[in-house]
Amino acid sequence: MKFMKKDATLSESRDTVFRDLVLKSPGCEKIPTCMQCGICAGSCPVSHEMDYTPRQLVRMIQLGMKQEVLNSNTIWLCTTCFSCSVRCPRGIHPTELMEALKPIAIAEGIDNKNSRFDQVFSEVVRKNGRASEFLLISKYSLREPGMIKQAPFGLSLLSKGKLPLSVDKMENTPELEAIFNPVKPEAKPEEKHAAGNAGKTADKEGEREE
Amino acid sequence: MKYSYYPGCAQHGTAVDYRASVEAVFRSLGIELEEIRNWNCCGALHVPDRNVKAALSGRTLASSKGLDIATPCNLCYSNLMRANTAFEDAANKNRINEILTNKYGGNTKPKHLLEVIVKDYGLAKLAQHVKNPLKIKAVPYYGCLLTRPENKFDSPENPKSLDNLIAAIGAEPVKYYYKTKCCGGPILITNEDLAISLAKDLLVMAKETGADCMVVTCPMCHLQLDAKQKLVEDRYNIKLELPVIYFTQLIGLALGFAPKELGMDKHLVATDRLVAGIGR
Repeated sequence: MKFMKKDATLSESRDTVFRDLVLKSPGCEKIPTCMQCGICAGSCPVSHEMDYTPRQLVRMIQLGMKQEVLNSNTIWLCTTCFSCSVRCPRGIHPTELMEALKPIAIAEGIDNKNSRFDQVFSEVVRKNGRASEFLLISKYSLREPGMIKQAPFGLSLLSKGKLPLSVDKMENTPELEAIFNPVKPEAKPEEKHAAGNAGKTADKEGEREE
Repeated sequence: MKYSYYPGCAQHGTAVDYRASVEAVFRSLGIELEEIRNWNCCGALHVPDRNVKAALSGRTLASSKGLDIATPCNLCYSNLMRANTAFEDAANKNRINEILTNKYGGNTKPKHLLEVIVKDYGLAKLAQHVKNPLKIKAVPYYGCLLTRPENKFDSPENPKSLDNLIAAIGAEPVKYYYKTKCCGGPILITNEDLAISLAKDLLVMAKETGADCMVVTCPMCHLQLDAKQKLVEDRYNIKLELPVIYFTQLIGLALGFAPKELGMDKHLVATDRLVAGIGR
């Protein structure tokens, strides 16, 4: 594993457009000042399972290693605990970096069990306004057959009345539609290709077909 | 005392027990929680687009009727706080307000229910209402999102508010080094093995303190530590049987409520022995 990581750091694939896009997003502005101290990786509860630790990922952003970054499991394993963010001596927010990368990865066609869960979750909230756990799990299980393993857990919750089968809904949701799919009349065609806009909307494209 | 109340999705599902205890305790203390009409999900940690999440929470913050918004959930609380930060940027604010029916000015203050009790209501006043001092040892577990990333309410590294609350009602808060370490909740569906290993670390450390129970402030933490505890035991071949209760249930017991009124019969880990231990 370690050798693979090293190989990736030597990669020739550099994408400055991608790098600059990421550096502009909130929480990522100070990434160029990273001194590789590694307190983010040391604080991260799941860095041992990541393809690249948060420290490595920050360096890879500096280098514009788009493909390696977007294909890593690092983005998706992050539990959003913000331990790294509150400790970084440079004021970098690696957690915000992961969040900035998710829509970009989805827009670039990254598809894995985590991105699928996020898409199912977004779809449930967009349609109902609330995230009913039962609906969420049922819909996700259809896309992820391995979920059958977790059936006993679901049953234990059901037995305690903690997994209502009724769907919790808002009264009306047109406003939610607008929140999830904002119309951008001011956006000119060439701007749509700036990944900022692509990242903001592209993750909804697939869901709408269902 | 009156707050706009944002229960969050879990209160209508996996956290029905939390809901029962919140309703009982806050009514008893005379703190009014007026539920926001037609509230929406905050997006939790699984709406991958931060702009969408800021708009979701902006809609909630705009419906506070000039009151502070109280919420029982660490995820909701964190998202509301982060939305406020997003609204500090004028361009962001205008962009989101173009979508929202009720425009949001950026001035609503979100508060976690723990903050409402500890800071606004006051622990001295709470102590006066204690009918049944709890002579137990309890692990204070804060989780991640109560104090991070905004850390406006308590320290992100060594928070004390829940410790102080436990002490105020007669119980003993034990020293617990993992009080802000992640429980693995956000990946419990997608990366179960990893999530279980994080929960195991927390539970084993909590068990080692010799405490009678673990006290939590978040529905997701509760799901991980209570509902998944049996799985942790099976997977690691260990015996834990450590009751995990919401801080509102702890207060409720001290105020003299029956465990059932606080939803404690809904837990996956039995709380009978804990309840017997405090003399009820």
